[in-house]
Amino acid sequence: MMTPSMTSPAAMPPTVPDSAPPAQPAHPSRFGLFFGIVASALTLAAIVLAVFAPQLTSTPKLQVPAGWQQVYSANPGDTTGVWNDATTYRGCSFPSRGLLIDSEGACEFQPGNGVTLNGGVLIDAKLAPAAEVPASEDAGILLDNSILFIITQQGDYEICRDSCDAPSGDNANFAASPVVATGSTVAWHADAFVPNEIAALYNADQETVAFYANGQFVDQINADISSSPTVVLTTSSSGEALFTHVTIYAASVS
Amino acid sequence: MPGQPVYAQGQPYPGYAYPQPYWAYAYPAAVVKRRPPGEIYALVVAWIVFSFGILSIVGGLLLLLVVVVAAANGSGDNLDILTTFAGFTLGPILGGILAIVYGISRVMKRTSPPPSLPSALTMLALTIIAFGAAVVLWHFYTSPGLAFAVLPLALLSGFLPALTILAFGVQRLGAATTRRHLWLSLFFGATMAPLFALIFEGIASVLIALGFTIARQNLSPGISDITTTAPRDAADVLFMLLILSVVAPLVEEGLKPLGVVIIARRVRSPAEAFLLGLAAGIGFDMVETIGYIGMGQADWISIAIQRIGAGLLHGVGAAMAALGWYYLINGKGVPRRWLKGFGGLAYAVLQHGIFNGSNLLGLVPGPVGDLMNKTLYVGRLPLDGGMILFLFYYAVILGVLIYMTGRLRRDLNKPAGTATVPSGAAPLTAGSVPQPVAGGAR
Repeated sequence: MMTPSMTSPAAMPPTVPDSAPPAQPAHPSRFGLFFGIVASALTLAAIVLAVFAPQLTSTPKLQVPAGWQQVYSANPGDTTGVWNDATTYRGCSFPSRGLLIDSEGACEFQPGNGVTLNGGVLIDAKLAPAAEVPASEDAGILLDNSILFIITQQGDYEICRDSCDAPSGDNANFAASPVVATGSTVAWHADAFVPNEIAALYNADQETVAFYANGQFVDQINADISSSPTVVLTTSSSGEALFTHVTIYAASVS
Repeated sequence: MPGQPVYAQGQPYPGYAYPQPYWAYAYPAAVVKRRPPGEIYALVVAWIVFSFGILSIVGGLLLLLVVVVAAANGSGDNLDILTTFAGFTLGPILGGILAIVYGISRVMKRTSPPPSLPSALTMLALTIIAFGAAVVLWHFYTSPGLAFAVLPLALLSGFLPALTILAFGVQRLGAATTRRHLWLSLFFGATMAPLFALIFEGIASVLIALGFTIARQNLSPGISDITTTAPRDAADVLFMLLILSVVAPLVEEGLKPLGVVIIARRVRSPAEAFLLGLAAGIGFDMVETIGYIGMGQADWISIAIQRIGAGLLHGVGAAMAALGWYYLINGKGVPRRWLKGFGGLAYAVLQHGIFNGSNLLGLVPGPVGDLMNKTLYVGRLPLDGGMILFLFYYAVILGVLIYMTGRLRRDLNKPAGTATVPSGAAPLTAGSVPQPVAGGAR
């Protein structure tokens, strides 16, 4: 007696053909259509959100407080007299483009004629594109020789008291770090061919110092400093900064 | 015959002379179904996918928690952090959900249809709209505003060009695979591959730096961060070249197609292997590109434009590597199998190595160096001059994509028995469930 095989032709599954249906049909399936609609809606929504992004920040853009006086507005390279020169301050020079500060250098604003800035001060400093300096363009503002704001070419910033250097030496108190705040900001142009602008606003009434990048709020700290603070432009220990235009306002001038 | 019944008289039963074979009747006894070959393997993979899906979601949610804490501590206005975390949270969470759904559906033997995406032209149009809007906004606003509000457009500027390339691949070869395989491959490329690439490339960088130290070659401080630090001497250049052109291509082209390698025995045609590799490469590119875009902060669109074709580099590289693996694993009997297999892998590594190494051409004196160091402008938006060279590369890789998908599609559509490539998985045998090439429980 013949015992039929379990794989008799009738029970055999169809073989898988070498060929396959042609590639995706001309019209996408419902999933494709759904995907397209969702992608289009998301794109439009993302554009609308980006359009309103500047209005959605928690703090308004930089504005000169009402009633404040403009004390200075110029290219520092054209007005070298009000800035420390290289003979007194290391790393401070004046190429035609502005005020160049070398690594660890600092340059103090000295209005002359016994003028002092009272009640608060706003410093708004424009930088040359980073490609114009050989080192990393790290720019800083030092207020009253105690509050230091430094921002690197990549947009990473530090706000420190006195200095951003870590404590060193045998008796250093590492718990008492001079760094008050750190972060990065979307407001910064990290492209080396785009100029940036930094600003520091010290309000003596509120005892706060707020920092801005390209007009957008970055960070703020409480600061109990002199009501007539000194203003110094600076850079990091390994960077350079080329300031092309500086504007300074004060609540009152005496 | 032992056990055969006998009459009382001693003669055995003669047996019945049925006019027809007994097997023609429905037999009431239960038939033990044999699992088709490869089914156990597929089920194991499905359960692994399911388990990894859960782990992936948990990992993604933990990272999301870190983002929330970081945002609460004032890091929320940092596009760099947001895009990096978006890459490492969106992928695991979405991919985890898909892995669970697809893992369960595979265990339940539900079939998956061929993948479907909008046409490549639709995706290209969306890319142009997103890029155009971002360029216009860059010109209007000195600073972009709230980073969270900018994030969606920045992410889409990384995703849309990549999805355009994937849509093109699906348009050409979509029938070769299933939606389940395609999306899982994409999310493998967007999760596991970058995670392991980060680890392996980090280890390799440390080992190479150690090698330089042993060889008494001093490297510039911070040179390990090759994206932000410029080389200062020959040792720096050699270090960067090793990282860019050797380590990154070997690690990334080794990891991206790994998802396809894991299911290689279930892959039924070279076209499917190629498309799944392309999807994995696109997934990898999405995560990498949005990470780079964030580094531009207010100038993120400049980086997005310069990386517009990065999906081609990663996608086609992974597709060729997956094709190579397919021939090495499934290509028994294919003429020049080893050449095709290792050729695919070598192509992927070489393409990546040449592309990455070209970043250092700016150091070469002469017209090439000048071109790389030149600045182009879209309005006032600056772009690296090297983009011209990379656009040329992208065009060449697009040519490879068109050629390969055309060739594989031809093979896919050839009448039975005339294909120059094997049909892929082991031939179906008795008791196996027919699995159509397009779709099916795969």
